[in-house]
Amino acid sequence: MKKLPFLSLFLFFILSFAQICAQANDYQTQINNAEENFKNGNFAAAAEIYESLISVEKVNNPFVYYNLANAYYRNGNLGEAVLNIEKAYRLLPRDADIKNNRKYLRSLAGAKEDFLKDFFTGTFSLNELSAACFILIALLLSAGAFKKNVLRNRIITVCAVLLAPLLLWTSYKIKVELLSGEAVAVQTLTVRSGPGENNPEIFEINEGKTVNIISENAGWSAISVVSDGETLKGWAESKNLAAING
Amino acid sequence: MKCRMNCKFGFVFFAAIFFFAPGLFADEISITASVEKNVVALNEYIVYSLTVRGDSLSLPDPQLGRLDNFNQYGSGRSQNISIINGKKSASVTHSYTLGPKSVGKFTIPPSSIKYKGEVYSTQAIEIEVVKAPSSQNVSVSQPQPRRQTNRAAASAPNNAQVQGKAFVKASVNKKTVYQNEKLIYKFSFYTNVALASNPEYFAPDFSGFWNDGAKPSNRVENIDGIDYNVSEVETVLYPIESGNKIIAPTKLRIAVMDFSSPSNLDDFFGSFFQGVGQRQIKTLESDEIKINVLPLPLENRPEDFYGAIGVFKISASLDKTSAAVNEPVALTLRASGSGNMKSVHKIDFDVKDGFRKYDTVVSDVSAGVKEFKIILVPVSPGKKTIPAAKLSFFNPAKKKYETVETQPLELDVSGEAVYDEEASAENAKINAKRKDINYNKRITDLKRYSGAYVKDKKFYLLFVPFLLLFIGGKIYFFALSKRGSDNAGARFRKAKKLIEKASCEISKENFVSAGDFIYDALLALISVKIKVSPENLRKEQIAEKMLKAGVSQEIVEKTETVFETLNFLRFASVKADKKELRDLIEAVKKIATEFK
Repeated sequence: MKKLPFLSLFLFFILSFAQICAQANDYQTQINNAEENFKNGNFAAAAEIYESLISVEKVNNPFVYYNLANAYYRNGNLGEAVLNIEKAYRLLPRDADIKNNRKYLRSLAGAKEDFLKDFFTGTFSLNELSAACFILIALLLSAGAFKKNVLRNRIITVCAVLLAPLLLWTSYKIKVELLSGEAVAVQTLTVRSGPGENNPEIFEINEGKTVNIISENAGWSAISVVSDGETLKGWAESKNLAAING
Repeated sequence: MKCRMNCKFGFVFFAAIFFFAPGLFADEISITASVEKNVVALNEYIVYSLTVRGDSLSLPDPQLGRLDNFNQYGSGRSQNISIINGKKSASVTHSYTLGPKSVGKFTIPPSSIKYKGEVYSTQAIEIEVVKAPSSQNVSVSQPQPRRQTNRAAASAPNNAQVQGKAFVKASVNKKTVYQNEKLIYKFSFYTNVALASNPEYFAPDFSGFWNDGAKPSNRVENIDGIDYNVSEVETVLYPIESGNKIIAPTKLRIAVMDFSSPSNLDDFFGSFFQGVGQRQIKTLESDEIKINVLPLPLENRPEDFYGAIGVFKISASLDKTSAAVNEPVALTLRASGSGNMKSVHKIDFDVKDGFRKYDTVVSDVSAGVKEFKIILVPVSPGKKTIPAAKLSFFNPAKKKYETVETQPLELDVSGEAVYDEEASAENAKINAKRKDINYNKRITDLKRYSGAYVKDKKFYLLFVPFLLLFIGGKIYFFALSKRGSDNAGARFRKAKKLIEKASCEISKENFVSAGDFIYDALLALISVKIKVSPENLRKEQIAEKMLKAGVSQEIVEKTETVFETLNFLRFASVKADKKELRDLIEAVKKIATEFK
């Protein structure tokens, strides 16, 4: 009778492990199906499977986004392709294939290269920078907790010197990736001067172009976009925009 | 004068450079016109050839001038292309078969081409048309009246459009053909009447067919006992696409002499040979012809089939059987046969390692022969085998695809292997055809990536232990320093206790111990003041350190006096009295009060 709690715990772990294994197998089957469809030219079907993995199974994997972008590109949905390659890039910015496809798809969408921005956004992911900040702060706090001596002072100096630019870099990444509301036009956008069809059209944005969402109002988004060094603002239907950080 | 001449020469020289320099850098293109003979009999024809040469593979078609005095029977086109060391050049010869309409001196006007905004023209060509020799019975264009035999020419052949004794008919060699198969359209003009001039020939619309030129000819044919002069125009056609096609009627305008009297008008064609006649214009028209063009079958089509239709054979030859390394060898592949020679535009041939292969020069040797000349350069020594070349074609007669091939050829190569550095540098270059995305990733391990840490509260919880460690450390060291600063008080308290103990010892009249307690109490007080532990205090340093610690001279002297008195009592074996010791205690208390 005394062993009952231990047995229950053991059974619980076994069942949890089995469930995890079964789930992994199910994902692999879906991935295999998607790859088979892609090979056979059924790009829409492949995209549907990858989308289901992301939205239903909540799989957050850069390679799934990468393959999904490829499927959309082959299927002629440039906007969706750009959206998903951006998501993959944010998770794994140094992967050569992801970088290559992002560059190519963005060029198709007419986006200009920004080397400085790409350096600061593409060298490390936000999580890598956050982890580095955490390690330095932890070191700094730990060293600060000890008695004053030469080693402690050196550790504090090095950590402080590294932490200052790292915090700035992380802040920039947070601003660009989390706070700026970057979104991709998944359809050609007709931008109006106000939220609603009754407002006049002021410009158009091609599919695949990245814009910033400033605010939202009843199915319409106030957006800003940079064109030839000039920032243009207007309103577009929210359904034609997909947030990269969404 | 001499100077003037030199100046003039200089001006002309520079003017010439200015005029011709652009031509040095422009694409080279030229057009030339020629005829096989400048004097032609009325019953003959001439072939007027226009040759366009240039550095481009897409040369423009020439525009003919007005040819009012000639019938144009048809045109042909032959092309030679060569690509040597990447430099492309082509020459296209357009041949027009022309028949004169009347006797006299005529001019074929200049023909021209337009290329990149420039117009290039040929020279005009003079042609003299003379009367046909009387001894020649066969007339190309203007048949002589033939002697009527006993049998009357009453009935005309089937499918012919008959008008008296001059009629025309059109025929084809087959009415069902395959796409690109050779089709011969024959137009025949039968007559035994006198013509006032050469007939005017209006070729039908051959749209839907590739017209490969026409050739006129003459002969005599006896129909029902009557001799007819027959003028024929054979046009070679290749159907471009499958489906039912119609060749519209061919028209021929003739001028005949009417020898009949006005009373006998209804018998016009029966009275050609009576007396002097009048000139009358008549238009003869052939029947339209329906052609069924079949598509080429997809079944059993060889992979190396490039559109050749007909029956062909191929042969291969080398211009030498032995060569040195780096010495060019010409391989000639000759395709011959019947059918659409134009459809034979490629022969499958690939040379193995050991050779550099240069581009192929294609030339039409004759109507049924085409040559593909390939320059091979051996790069390594030894016995080399030049592999067989293959040609696949569709045989319309057998309605199936066939493949013919040459025999492999042997070549002895002597010398040492050479490597072309320029070629290797060229080989190192990769010319991307187009850009595309990189292919999918193979996902074998579905590693999950978390969202942004900075958005997760758990991330901030990780800092808590380190923050606690930091705070704990700070508190600890603060407490430690606090304890360090309380040492002075402790020592003061200790000194006070020692003095109390000394007083007790005095009461018990234990004066030695009392003296020791006083001594220790004074040391404790001094160590607090000068911040040196009592163990490290040396007597000779005490006064100096006390002065440095800001103690007044009077107290220092008093302290020294107390020390000396205590030492005296301790070491001089003098028995101290109560009063002296109590005075010492009072002095120590005073010093303590000063220090506080």
